[in-house]
Amino acid sequence: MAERIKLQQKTEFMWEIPREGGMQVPGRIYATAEMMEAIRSDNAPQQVMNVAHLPGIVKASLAMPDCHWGYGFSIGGVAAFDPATGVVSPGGVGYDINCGVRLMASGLSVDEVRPRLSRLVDTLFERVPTGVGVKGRLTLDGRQQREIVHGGAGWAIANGYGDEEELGFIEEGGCVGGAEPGAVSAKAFERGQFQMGTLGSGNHFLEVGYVHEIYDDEAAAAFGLAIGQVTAIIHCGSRGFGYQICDDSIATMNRACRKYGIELPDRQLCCAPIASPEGEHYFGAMNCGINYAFANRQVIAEWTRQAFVDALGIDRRTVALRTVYEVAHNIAKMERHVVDGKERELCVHRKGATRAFGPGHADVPERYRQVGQPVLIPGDMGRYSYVLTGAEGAMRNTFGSTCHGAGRAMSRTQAKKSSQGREIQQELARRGIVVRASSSRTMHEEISEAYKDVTEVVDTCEGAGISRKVAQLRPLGCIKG
Amino acid sequence: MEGRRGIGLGMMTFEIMEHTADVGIIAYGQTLGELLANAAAGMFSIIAEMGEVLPKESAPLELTAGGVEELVHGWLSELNYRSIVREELYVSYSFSECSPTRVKAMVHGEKIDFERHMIYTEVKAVTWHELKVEHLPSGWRAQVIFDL
Repeated sequence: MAERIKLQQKTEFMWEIPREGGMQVPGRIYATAEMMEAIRSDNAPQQVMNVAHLPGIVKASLAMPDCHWGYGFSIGGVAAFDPATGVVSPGGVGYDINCGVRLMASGLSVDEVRPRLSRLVDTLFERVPTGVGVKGRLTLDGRQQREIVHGGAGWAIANGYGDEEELGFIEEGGCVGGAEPGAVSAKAFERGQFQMGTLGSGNHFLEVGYVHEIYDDEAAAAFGLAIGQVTAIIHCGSRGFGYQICDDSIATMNRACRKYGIELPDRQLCCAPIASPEGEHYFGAMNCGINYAFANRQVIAEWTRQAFVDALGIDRRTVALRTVYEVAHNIAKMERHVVDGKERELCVHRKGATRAFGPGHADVPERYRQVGQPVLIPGDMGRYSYVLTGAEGAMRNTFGSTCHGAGRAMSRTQAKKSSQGREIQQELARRGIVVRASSSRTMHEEISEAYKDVTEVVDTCEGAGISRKVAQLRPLGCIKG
Repeated sequence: MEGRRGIGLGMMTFEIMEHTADVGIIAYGQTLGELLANAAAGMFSIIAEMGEVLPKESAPLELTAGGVEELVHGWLSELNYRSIVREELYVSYSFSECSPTRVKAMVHGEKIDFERHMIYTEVKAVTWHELKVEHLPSGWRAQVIFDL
């Protein structure tokens, strides 16, 4: 289907789908000519066009270089809507509400950690529950769940998980307003009850790595990153609590579309006007999911810190595992952006896309403001991840957004088949990477080759001027579901 | 595609449908009840190794829906939700009522024993994406994609 879509190359790194039929705005995909070959063979361009049909969409329906087929919106999709005439769509956020990434940097070097790396990874695997059906170490009662949905990462800190100053280094300060627990179903609360402080399965992980290369000395210095420094990355979201909120909302939104006469090319695009009872209801519930995920990563961050201290036998002050930054990559929220020379409030959806505010933006922590917001782009478990910084081009062209990861190149079955008979854990161990996973199937499904090379993705974002490379991180160890 | 055949029916019960990021199923059934049972078998084959699961416990499940697609979506979503919060896996179903708008069934399965049962992955949700349920002259056919 994508072959018939008109794609005009506008710059070396950007392609446009001209407005046609019911499209309110054009579509824009950030990619190189080589990447576009793969993107064309997927349904992502059609999904970019579908999103362009939604009421009140502003400027363009966007897709980042790691875009691929998703539910309703493509993964890597970014769309902004006018609050008065536009819509909010659960399909523009995804099931894993506020799935995101936290980067932590330690006061330790690779040489200090490597001799005790296996012990560290084992300790992390013991302390941070991963996988399916594994209950967290916390069981939440109704009062605690309500506190979490209002407090986010702040709830975790108030309960002993981390330090107050970390909040300044989390997108939105680790908590959004407007959470309405009354808009969340009993089923969602039931799913969330045992999952606080858990990573989950699939592509979620906790990785210990180190800074391998620095591309931008000024930004790296501002982020406190130096060559050889040990880091930790946490990738997870709102767990069953968020999945259930999204699922419940899709049922409500399907009815809302009929009520408001919104015609959709795909049911998974269902939405409601932002200024409608259904839109407000979704926002109230989604904000609860956002805060649950902020709390989840904060709890895991603290357990990570404790695991470093205990496994390495080094005191907390020397471990100095500090939050560099935490970003959300599945979210919708109100932000102010300049469109056609005028600043206005917009409802920005990022589904598999990361906020990347440029230098000088008031929402960037003061310590980083001169260089821009840190952006964390995980790759696969065998190669590398990147730290980027937001750039001015993102503020002009992508509502302050950039890519979020590598994107899969193989289906899970393909990955399993291609790695059949291989001992993935041993292969990685021979390369000095210690991996622990709850399921050996996950290990096979998540082999490096199953993912695209994240370098191409981040280089394209840099070429397009929507973010800049700061550092490359290499993995030392990883725990997965 | 990984096909599975129904015992004694000579008819395909479900097939696994591959997708780059996620996984789907195509389920078949001579009757709507059979379709629901086979779709559930397909979903649980993604979640766990089901060979070891026995119908030790039973629980009632009642569901109403606006149409057959909503029914299939609601049925699988409810089973997935129960499986997560009750830590159970289901293997068989007996229907006392089954129409495109209403299901009354007993679901049979057992509590997950993490020593004995091999759990593969979590199904985040049953999506609406390209969800299709058809009543063909040869029987029922449903296509469902899961977010993993």
